[in-house]
Amino acid sequence: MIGVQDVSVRFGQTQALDRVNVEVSAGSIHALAGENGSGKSTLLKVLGGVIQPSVGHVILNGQPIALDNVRDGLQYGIGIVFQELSLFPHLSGFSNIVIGREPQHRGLLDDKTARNRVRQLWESVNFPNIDLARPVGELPVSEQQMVEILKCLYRSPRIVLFDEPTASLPRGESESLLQAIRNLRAAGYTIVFVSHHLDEVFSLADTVTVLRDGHVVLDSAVADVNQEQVMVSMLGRTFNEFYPVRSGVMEDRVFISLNQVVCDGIEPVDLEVHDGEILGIAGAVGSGASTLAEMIAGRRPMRSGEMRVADHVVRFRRPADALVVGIGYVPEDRRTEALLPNLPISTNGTLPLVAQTPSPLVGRGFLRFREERHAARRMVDHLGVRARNAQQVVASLSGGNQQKVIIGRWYLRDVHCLVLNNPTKGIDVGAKHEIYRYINELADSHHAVVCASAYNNELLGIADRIVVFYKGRMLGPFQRSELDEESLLRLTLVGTVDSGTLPSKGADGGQYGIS
Amino acid sequence: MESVKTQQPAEEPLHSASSGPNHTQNWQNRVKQLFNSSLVAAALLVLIVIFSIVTPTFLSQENIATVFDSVAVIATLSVGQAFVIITAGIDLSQGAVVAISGVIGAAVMVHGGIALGILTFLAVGVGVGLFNGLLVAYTKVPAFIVTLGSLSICSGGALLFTGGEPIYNLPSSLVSFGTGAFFGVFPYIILVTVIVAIAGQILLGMTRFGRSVYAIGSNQTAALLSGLSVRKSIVLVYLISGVLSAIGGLMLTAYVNTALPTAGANFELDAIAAVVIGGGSLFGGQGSVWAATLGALLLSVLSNGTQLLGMSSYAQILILGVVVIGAVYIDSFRKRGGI
Repeated sequence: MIGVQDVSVRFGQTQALDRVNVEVSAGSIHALAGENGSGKSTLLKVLGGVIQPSVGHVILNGQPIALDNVRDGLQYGIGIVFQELSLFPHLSGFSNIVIGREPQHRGLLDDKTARNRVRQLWESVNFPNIDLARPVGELPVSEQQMVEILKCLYRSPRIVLFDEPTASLPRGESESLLQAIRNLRAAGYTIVFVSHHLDEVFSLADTVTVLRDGHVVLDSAVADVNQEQVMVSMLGRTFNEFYPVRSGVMEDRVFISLNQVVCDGIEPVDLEVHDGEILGIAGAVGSGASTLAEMIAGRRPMRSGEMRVADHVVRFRRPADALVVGIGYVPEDRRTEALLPNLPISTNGTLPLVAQTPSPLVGRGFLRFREERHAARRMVDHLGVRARNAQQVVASLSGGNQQKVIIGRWYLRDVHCLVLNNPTKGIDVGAKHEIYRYINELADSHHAVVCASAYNNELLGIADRIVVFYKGRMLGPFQRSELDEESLLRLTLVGTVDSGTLPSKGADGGQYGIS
Repeated sequence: MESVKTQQPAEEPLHSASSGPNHTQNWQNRVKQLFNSSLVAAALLVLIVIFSIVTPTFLSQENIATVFDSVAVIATLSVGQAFVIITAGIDLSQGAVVAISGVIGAAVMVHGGIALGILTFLAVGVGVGLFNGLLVAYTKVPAFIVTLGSLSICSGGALLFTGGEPIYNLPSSLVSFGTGAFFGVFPYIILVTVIVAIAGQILLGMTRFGRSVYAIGSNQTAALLSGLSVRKSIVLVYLISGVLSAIGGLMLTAYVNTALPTAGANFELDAIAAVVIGGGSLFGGQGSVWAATLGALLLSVLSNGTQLLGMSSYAQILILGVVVIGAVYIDSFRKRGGI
């Protein structure tokens, strides 16, 4: 019924989709699977009219159609529900659902008709009970997601596209959403969804298409394949040669130790971070991997348990507390958490060093401009930042070079432990390589490095040990040598190494040696 | 090693613009740089040239003194406002602090002498500044609301304190400060403004505190993650604004030899305009003290020049509004082009 024919999409240097053909049959649930960067979200966005293919067409009922935007999609009965909620938190569920299409009576809003229409819609898809009169900001995230779906349905599509519908949901709330999607199928809708979780694909979908590096590598009825086959098809070529080689090894000295540490969204964690090691934290978006990274860096409060840094018990209330004991942080979102966009590279790069007391760049409260210039130049050279000069405004750099400046902050203020949260998100291959090289160099010079990443290959390429988060629970730690692409992918997608058995803590301890 | 190899050749060394052998080009470059780095300085220069050509009296000693006298208080306030605005905040209470510090300080001065009086001025500034700063830094009430509230509290307080009456009979030493001049040529109040501006620019441009002011305004989360004491700096910024407003109150009281409970009304708006004309952004992270004081001077030159041209004071107010919007509009183009 809906599909794409010979669709290619290019983003600059990257070929996101390469002559892809997919067909979705009416009234079915069709899953798009693949690793991060495989092109699955791009494909969904092409179907929804968010992204226009450079070559090829979207096909609807056998006819090629042109979708210039989401509005065009709706004209053809294609609705898309995005991963990030786009609701107005202060408005009620009703108002959010009908927004922009409010029934009117003589120029005034007709709330009664609106409510009736929403109720009819709600009953037709048999959704669970939600209080639609309350401001949606007060609802749990899973219910907000239902409102988002109803908002999409209100625009009367026949085809509904979901971009990672459960990614932003807390544990335990996703089952009601999955049920809601099944109800949609029962009500006659055609569903396409992108998912990070293989168990969702198998419990929900009729058909699965697996993408890898922009190509379709598997396209089959779910009944005809098992998780094993899907997983194998997701795995790409290995890029081991792409990752620089370590010269150092993990040392005995423990720098950070967590004992039954709990924070919002993750179950109790026992973990040690050693000097000279790169500890990888793997896990899909929303699994808790970046939550742990944020907690170690003092960005998120610890609810209970004990954290020790260099054998001293610590309790961080703010990032500055973590800095004092030598833990620096590279946040996930460069733009909102890290960059001073309108200020020069040099100011951006030297900020933590300037903030330090005492600081080599500050004398009696006054900045030492000459030392600062030298420091900035050192950072630019060492990290390989491509810029005209250190006075260039940082916003004018490419994403990769901006990230090098952000990491360069911690090169200048030499913290003993660096926590990186998805440090290579959205940057080009060359910059990635240089960042890996720098991370290796840190560990080789006896620093402790913690790196959370949603890219499994990256962790397999650089980490010495890896812990995996699956729906808020930590698995491992595993030695790098114990894992391969397949087992790590399996851990992040279904939470277990062997097909069939669920991981229990005892089994892990025996098999992989929890420290 | 790889980083060295892959680095692009620097297109232009840092100081190439000012070290070229060709002098004409050098001079042109400098003018270009001036326009690029400071639109307000260039605009001020243009205004001065125009007014001195079309009005015979603009450059007279007497008129220059008038221009400076009228700019002194606003310029002092704009220094404090610059600090606040660069952190992405705003201080609407400045004019009201001029009033309340004026009446309380003058009353103390009349009864307790000039030294105690000056201390009282400063104490009022410290008090209001701390009040604003602590609320902005430690609560979620936005700066606009906090300072709007203290504006009202201070103006109401000033009126209550004097029963609406002005305070006269100030010590003669204050009067000689207000109208006298250093060596007979350099008025004391201008001297204070210049000292405040220089100290402010040094504090903002050359110290760790100044750097954190920019960083906080540019991205507060990044400042926090870099280990800056964000809240302390925010309190300090409003404290500076409060104290400078009180100093402005002292200057005004001395200059007019009277403390009025309604003095300073809308001064904060002129100070904000001065900062913005000087390239400051209300979104924070941009601006400077020296550009803000030039902005204040520009406002003063503009109103003086148009007055000499015979325009009514009503028309001057109108022109002011056009200039503020125009300045920010032009600046937005420059910034877009610069990147």
